[in-house]
Amino acid sequence: MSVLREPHQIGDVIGSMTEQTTSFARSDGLALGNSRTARIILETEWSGTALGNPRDWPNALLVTLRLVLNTTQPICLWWGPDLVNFHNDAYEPMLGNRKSDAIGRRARDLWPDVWDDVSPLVEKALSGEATTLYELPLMVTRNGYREKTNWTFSYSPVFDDDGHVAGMVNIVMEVTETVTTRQKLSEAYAAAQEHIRVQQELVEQREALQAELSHRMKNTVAMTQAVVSQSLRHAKSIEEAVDAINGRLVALTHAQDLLVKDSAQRAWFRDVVERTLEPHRDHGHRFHLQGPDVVLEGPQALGLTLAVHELATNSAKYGALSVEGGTVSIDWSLDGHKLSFAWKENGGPPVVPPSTTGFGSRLKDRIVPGYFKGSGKTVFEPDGVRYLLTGQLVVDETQSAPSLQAEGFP
Amino acid sequence: MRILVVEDECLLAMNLESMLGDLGHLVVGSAGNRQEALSAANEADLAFVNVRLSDGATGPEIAEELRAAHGVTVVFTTGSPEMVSDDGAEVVNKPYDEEMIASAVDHAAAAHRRKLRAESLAEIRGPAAAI
Repeated sequence: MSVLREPHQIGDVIGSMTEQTTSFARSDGLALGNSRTARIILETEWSGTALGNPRDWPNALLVTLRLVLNTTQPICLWWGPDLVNFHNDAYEPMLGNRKSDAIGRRARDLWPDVWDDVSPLVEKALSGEATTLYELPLMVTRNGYREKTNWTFSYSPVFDDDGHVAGMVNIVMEVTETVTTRQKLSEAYAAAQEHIRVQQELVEQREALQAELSHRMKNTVAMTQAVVSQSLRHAKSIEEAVDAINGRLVALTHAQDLLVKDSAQRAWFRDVVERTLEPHRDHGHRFHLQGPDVVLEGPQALGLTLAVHELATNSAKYGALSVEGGTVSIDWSLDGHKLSFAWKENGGPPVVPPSTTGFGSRLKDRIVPGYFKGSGKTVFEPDGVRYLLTGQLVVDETQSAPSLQAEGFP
Repeated sequence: MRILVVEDECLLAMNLESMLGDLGHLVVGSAGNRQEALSAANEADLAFVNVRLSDGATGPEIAEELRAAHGVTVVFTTGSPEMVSDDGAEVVNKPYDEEMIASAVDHAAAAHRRKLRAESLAEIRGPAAAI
């Protein structure tokens, strides 16, 4: 009993304070306050119910009701053996469409759909033990639309005037904002992590690209160096060497232009030949190209360029391209991976085989065939020079042709 | 020195062959891939092996086979020095000149002779140790 003395005394004190300060209307004699739900309670006809006339309600129920009804935090109070429902205005959103006749109903009738879940907590509260459930999700309509909300519930016992558990209160705190903020934070964190990951990937890609560029640049310089030193080594004069070097480097650059258009560094056979012949095109129809669509990997494209460049340069000096009306037939074919290429000049001056062979001859007869793992041969036929190159087409199985198509190739 | 050149860029291979020839060495073969390299390996003391060949970064694998099965001492050539793991082999970065090639051959030749001496000593000591 001594436990209950104190609450009684405090209740009395608060009672006298409210009388002095807010002076709730006492016309009803219950002093429940002016809230919507307080008025509903007053308007409800209780005499036929289990709780009976409010004038006979135990002091503990009235005190608890005053507390509940005048609190802005959502609270419901279930009282008596039938667990009769009371709640405050703040609790109304929790009720949704049950709101209209919720006061005075038995809790199990009010919440039939969740009763099985709730009843263990209710039993615990009625046995004197409180439970708190944190941040439970709940769809609520309170602003004209359904929204996702989160609530922390605590089920606590409520005692009667004699100190026995006579019911329970469910004190609810809305934590939607806390949960939403945390979710947003965690989403922002995940987004930031993803951003960092993408950044790192970009950095790695850029580093890989730089390494690749550096590799290609060094390789190009090494090729240039080889062209220069080999051209010089076999030249009869500096002037001749300069011309030869310039011509070869320009041809390699043109082939390189074709290769960089394709992400996989490949080019069409026909494009390589045509690009290399470009400097030798004048008004006439000098070149007859015929052959299937063949895709060349980078090194083979460079090799083909070097051979065609040497042939065209020689022809412009001594062969069919040195005279009006001279023509060149260029034919290639592919049989499986076996590739053959033929250059045949017509309509030029009588052919005189050269007395010495320079780097140009070595290029087309020895070096270029190396790119094709095959052989090359120049025949000085009286009616025009013939060059034959046979070898293997290198096919990178990891690449597919479509990217060439996408780059605007035929 | 008898030297094998493993380089699929034929123009570079030819230029390296010229340099080695000028330096007084004998180029016993020029290979563009693993198979060609291994078939010419028996006649070589040293091999210049390009790291990235047309079939991928197979240079180091070829080098390992050349060393293990044929006792060839390897010098790597590469435009990507970061791709060569530090296994004690001589590395020449592309582009290179004759001086760099000459110095690489000298170092590799010295290493090759040390290895041969160590092997012959092991042969002499081998039976003795057995007794």
